[in-house]
Amino acid sequence: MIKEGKFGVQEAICLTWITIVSKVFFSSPAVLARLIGSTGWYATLISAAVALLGFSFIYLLLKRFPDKGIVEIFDIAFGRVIGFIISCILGLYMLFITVARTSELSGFLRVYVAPQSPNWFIIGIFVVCIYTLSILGLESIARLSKLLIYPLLLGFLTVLLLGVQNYDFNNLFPAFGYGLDKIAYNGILRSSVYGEVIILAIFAKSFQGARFIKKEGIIGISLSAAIISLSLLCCSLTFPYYIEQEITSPMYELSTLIDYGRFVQRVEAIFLYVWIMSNFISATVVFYSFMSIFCYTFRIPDKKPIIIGSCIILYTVSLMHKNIISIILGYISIIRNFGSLPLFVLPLITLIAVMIRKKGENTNA
Amino acid sequence: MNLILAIKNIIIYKEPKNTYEFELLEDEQEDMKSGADHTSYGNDTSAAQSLDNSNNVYKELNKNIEEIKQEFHFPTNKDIVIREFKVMRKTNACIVYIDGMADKSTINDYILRQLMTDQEMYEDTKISIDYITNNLLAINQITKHISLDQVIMQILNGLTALFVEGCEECIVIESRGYEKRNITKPEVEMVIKGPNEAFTENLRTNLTLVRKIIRNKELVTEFVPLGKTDNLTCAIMYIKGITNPKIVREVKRRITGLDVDIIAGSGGLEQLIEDHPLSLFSQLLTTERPDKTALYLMYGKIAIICEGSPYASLAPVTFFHFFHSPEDYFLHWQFSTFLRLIRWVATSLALFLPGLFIALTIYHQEMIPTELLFALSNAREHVPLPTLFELLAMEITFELIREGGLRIPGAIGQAIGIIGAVVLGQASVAAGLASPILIMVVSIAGLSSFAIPNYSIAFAIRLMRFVFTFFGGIAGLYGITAGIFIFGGLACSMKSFGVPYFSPIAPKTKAEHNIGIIAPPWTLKERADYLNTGNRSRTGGTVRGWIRQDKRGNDK
Repeated sequence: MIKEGKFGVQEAICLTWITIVSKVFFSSPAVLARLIGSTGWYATLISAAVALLGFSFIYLLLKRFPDKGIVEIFDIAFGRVIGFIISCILGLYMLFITVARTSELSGFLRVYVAPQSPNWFIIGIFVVCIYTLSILGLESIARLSKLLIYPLLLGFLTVLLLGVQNYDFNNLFPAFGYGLDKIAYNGILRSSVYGEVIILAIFAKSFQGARFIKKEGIIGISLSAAIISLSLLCCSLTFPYYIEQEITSPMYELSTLIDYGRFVQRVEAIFLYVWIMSNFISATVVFYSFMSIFCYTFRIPDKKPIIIGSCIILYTVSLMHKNIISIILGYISIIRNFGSLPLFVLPLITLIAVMIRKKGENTNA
Repeated sequence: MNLILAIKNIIIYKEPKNTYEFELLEDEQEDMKSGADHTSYGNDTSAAQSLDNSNNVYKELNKNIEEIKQEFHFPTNKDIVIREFKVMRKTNACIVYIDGMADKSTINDYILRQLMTDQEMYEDTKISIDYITNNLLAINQITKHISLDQVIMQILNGLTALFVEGCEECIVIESRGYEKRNITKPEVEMVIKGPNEAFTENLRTNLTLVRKIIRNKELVTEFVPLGKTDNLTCAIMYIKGITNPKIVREVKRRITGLDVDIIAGSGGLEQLIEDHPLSLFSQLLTTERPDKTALYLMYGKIAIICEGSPYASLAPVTFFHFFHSPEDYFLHWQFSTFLRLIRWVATSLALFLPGLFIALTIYHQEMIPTELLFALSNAREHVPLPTLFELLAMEITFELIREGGLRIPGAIGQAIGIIGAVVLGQASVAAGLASPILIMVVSIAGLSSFAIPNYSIAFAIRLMRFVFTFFGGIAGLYGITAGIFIFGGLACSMKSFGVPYFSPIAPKTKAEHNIGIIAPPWTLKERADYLNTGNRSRTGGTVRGWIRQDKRGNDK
């Protein structure tokens, strides 16, 4: 049988936190600036609130089926055939997220860091990293995320602190951006930003019960919201919204503007590890979720034989994009606009189904 | 054919083997009192007699002598001494020992003289094993064996075997007296403030050195034979009631499960019993200091000491333990904390500096301040080699000097090291083969590696430095980050006797204020949580009880 290992609350929180937060380091702030101006920093709090609501459905579902992962619950709720289809949708969506992450990082590196390096090379290194960690298993990924959270957080906060010299509070205006309706609409729609919290449900067996998952999910979403909001605020303080929307990676640009005398300037390369490492962890976790779902759906007892195959699929699909614009306007846009459907709506439908069919331990819940 | 097999092995799926993986889980903690079974050194016959009876001591002395001669290839083998005589001038007997391993004065004065003296007043006494042990032999440590195999093993250890006509038991007398080195100063783990005793090659001396520090009746020493043909003895030390018995059992299981003719001391044993032998990181901590061994034993760890090896292997350990120096505990905690921070900086420099230099000069020149960039480009102007090749060449030269300096004896070795470094460095700059800045980078990285207190981990970092240099060369900081991710993942998947390698940070366990920054000694009240020790508390309440007493006194 597939064994993912067991780990504690802190590892779970770090895993969720990094997985959710990593996307803010790339194109997300620019897209938000285009949609809602300089109000992204509080609009994301609306997204977080909606995500918490979505997570409450996931939690209620898991509470009814202790010691079961969400994929097993799909089977129980809908039967083998429909459960299989739903699991496949979730699994493929996870693969799609991984592809988007990989392509986005590759595009980012080609724009800012290594313009002459070919895509196959950058993505190749990425896939080797994912492959290695997938072989080692979820327990190692969780431990690594716990270990790396300290240098990542340190680097991230250093960038924000050193960027103080460029902050201009006038950039936060107009305070309501393009209008409250748009803020509310995009805030709700983009709750998918926090959708990766579903990994807690996919690997529910490793997280020591629903009570702990509730704690991990709430803290994970809240901390992620705080970090995302803070970074969006700093981006908005640094760049006027009409400039921010033109920048591929506002957070990286923010680090390039750090200038304290002749020696401390153009230090953005030092902080590269923050953006890259968080993306590595995030993509690996999501990719591992895909494999876990795939193995369960097709009743494959061991993950190892499918890792190489899955990595080859990831590698080839990640290469299928024209440029970073096509990634941002294509993959990322789809994930943000429709991500809530598989990540929050599917568990909600499942919850309704189990309540109607009176399945699970706590039928009065 | 081998290539085809290798490809086949990669492609074809094999079912995962159901190998037993030892885990130290909190909910499985066992009653410490029931603890580990132990057989202490110098016990009576009981431990030895459990072996099969197929090769027991004969009643007839001649048969025993013949058997011994055959087993030891006597008389071709000149080391073995078989001395026949009569006990109290009436019963035939013989002693067997290995020349040079046994102490001759013990044999002459306290075995032969005692046994061969004519005691007329006891003429009618029947000579038996019990009579000899109770009345004749003036030796403090004696064991009785019925298994001839056990007797042979003890003879090989330097003890003397006494066979008596008509007795089905053999007396094995403690008479070890081989040459041994005196206790000297530690050579690898030197300290300025602290004890200066190091282990020697003699097992008994090493155990005594530890016992001298821990004067606790709960300190248990178990002996386990190592190797199938060389009968090396290995001691397992732990403190009953503190050390988790599961760890003791697991260590014994692994050692007794070894099936190899000879084991090269503690270094060889470590590789055979550690959880991840393919990893660069060692999972047992080797030390030559008895005080460090004693300290770790008190923390709930196990010490494995092999005969003939001047080191103790400590387990379970975490990654952070490799950066602790014994001096940390003898200095003020603020000084120790500073030294530890320096060691962490040194580790980072030793590991990443050459890689970062390559990454910055090849891929991220924008980060280098303009003046420094000019200096760099001026220095490199006449160097024909690519930076990566130049750096690797200098690193290899540095390793050559280091290895060469070790092989050349004493003061000449040090001189060769310094002269080699200076002359080679200057000459290569003058010849236009390397730039001065690069030589500085290599030197700083090399110097930093000497600041790492553990030799095994320093070696691992030396090797990994090459990997990071390569990663930095092929993909800049992206490559280095990928390297950290891969090596970090591999290290996070490791365990040392069931304890995750990065405990107590990943996974998080209860705080241990001694892994990086040292907390004041009076706050270190508990043993590490991840060891699941029998007794977590190191104190009855307040470490500095005198403060409370003083206050009470003032109140009065």
